[in-house]
Amino acid sequence: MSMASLFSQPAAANEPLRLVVEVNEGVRQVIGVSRRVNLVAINAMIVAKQAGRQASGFQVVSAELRRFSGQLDLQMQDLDRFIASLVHTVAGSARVRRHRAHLDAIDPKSPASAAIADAKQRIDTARRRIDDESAERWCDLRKHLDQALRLCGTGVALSRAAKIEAVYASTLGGDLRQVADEIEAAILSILGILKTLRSDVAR
Amino acid sequence: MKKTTVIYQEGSHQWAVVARDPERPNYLIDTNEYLISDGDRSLLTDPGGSEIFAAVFSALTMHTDPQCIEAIFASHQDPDIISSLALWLEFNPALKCHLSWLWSEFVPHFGGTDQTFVNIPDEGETIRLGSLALEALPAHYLHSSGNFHLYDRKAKLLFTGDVGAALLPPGSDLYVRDFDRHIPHAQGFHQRWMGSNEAKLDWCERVSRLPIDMLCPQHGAIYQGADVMRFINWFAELPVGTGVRR
Repeated sequence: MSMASLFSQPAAANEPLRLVVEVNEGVRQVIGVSRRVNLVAINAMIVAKQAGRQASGFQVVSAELRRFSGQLDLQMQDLDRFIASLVHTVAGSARVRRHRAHLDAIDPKSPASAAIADAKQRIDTARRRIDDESAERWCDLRKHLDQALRLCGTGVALSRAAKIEAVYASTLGGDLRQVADEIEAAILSILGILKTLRSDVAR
Repeated sequence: MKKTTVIYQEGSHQWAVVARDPERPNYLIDTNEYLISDGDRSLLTDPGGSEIFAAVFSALTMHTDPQCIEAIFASHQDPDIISSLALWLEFNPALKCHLSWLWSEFVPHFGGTDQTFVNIPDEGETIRLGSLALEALPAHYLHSSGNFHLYDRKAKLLFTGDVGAALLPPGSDLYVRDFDRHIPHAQGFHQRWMGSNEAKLDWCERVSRLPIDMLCPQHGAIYQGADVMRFINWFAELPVGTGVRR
């Protein structure tokens, strides 16, 4: 490899790191929305309690929604920690690839070709190990996102149940319906973010 | 491609310099790497940045077996000095890197383990290489706060890192041929990169007492003979740390 080509590595080499950054950003967005769901659910519980028996169903559902947002928050925090270790692996992979490119740029006529071949072999072994580890981690990331998506499915069902229960809350029905709509919109936005991430990671 | 040139030879004792890379991208400063050998045992000074590793390695291996390089001397911590460390370790994981203690927790970010580094105390020390005793001379604040030069008393050669450096036009000679025409290329570099007149005068005073046949900087051209003292005198007179006021 010539010096010129060494200095113009394809941008695709940074793709895994860019994807990790995207996933990290998505996780932060989900954590933000999930905390909003938690707050809205607390408010809904208070309003439903004030409404008494008329809104007892809504009270139960909003308590479940609160539990859901807590679980989602924990899952996202787990994912956040997992991503930190993924960054380590991806950076390690980028580093050994860069090392390999530097060795490839050595003059092929060098009398030290045996030493160069040995060094390349060591780097390739390290690269294979890191790549295997990396593949395993990407697979784990997909599993983490699948779990979060399943949980989100429960959230969507809960938000729909909240809308139904709002209908039975007579005089406060309008207010609670508005709250339920807000929760549904938030959960659907979480679902959208997670689906995009899942599809990006699968790709 | 960079070229290796022997600049001193006495029996199995040798200094060779790897210099002048015509294929170097213009955004990278050109560097000189010196290989000091006693028979098949070698030490490499300021091996350079990772981006020029291939060029240095290719040139050097035309001259020596890279596995004979048992030590690296890093005058200071800059990337153009030592960021290629991890790549050199690929060829000899037992390689030792002699470096100011001040940078002992910084340079490992370029590679190496606690087994790699030999910390040089502020007052300097002697580095053994076969039968050679190379002296790490303090040159702190010229320009780094933990900075050393390497003196070979037997060969009367002094490696001076960034001191004596010059930003020369492409195709310049390896040696300073006309001091007066050369030195303007060194002036701005020293005014800006050297921060302490006190440190400079202390260095000039100590170094002027040493017998030196060649003063070998990491950038630019090698001073030899009377030009060595000419440079020391010029440097002693030059107000440094003034680059920002130009």
